[in-house]
Amino acid sequence: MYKNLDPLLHAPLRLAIVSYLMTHSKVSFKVLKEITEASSGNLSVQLKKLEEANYLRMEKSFFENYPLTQVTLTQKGIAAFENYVQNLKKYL
Amino acid sequence: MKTTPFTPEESIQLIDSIIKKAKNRFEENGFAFILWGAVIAICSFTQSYLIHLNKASISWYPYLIMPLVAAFVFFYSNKKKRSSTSNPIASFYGILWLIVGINIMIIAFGFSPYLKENLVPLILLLLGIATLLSGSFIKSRILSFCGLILNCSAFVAFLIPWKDQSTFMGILAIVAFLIPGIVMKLKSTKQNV
Repeated sequence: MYKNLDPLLHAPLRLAIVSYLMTHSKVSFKVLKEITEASSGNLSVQLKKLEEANYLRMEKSFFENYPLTQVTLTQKGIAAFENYVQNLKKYL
Repeated sequence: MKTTPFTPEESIQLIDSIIKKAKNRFEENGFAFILWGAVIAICSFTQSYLIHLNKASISWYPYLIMPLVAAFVFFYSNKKKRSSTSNPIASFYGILWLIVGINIMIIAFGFSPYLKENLVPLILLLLGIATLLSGSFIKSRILSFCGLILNCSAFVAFLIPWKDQSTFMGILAIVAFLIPGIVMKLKSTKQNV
């Protein structure tokens, strides 16, 4: 329907993730879950899709004996978001 | 959150709401203001008490706790940053207060014999500028207002006798740091309920 809009970003949860990451250099999974109000399962799936497209990078480590996943937007992800916003303006 | 594809208008609304959430997350930082407000107020009132007991030579001793508090805040903020999130606003905010904090420590512990009664006004001036900049940058009205109070109070402090300057600083710590910190904390608690 919206041909110019990147289908990977034109989905509410994935767009919310990328929008938040545009203003933050590094974000934990926990914070993303709070911001997007998504379930852990759904969030993991969407993050995986964005990671596969090389829009973001996930780093897994441990913090005080708890697993810690931190997410960073890649240059490709930033360019894709900027391009998405430019194309979005054509429909408004 | 919706899972089906959506319209461009909804897209814009979503981006806007996420950016607002990003901004609000930073406003949760009332902790540092409460801590510094309480510490500065306690140190200032203790100094004032010691001056009035004619023990001016040791009246600066309470401030020796400051580097310890600074180290605790630095450790706490680094720990929080590692476990949660970081953004350019938070980085700017952190660097600004780190630079101001180091400069205040240097002038307070290294140059007080030269600055004498000008020390408190100078510290207030630095605190005022940093608070005003922070408030303007994160668009927080309460912080900007407190920065303005501190900035103006710095000029008033030049006119106050040195014996009363510490009491003045203690009152300002409560008015411009402690109370706004509590307000910010309550606001963030309310937002998260």
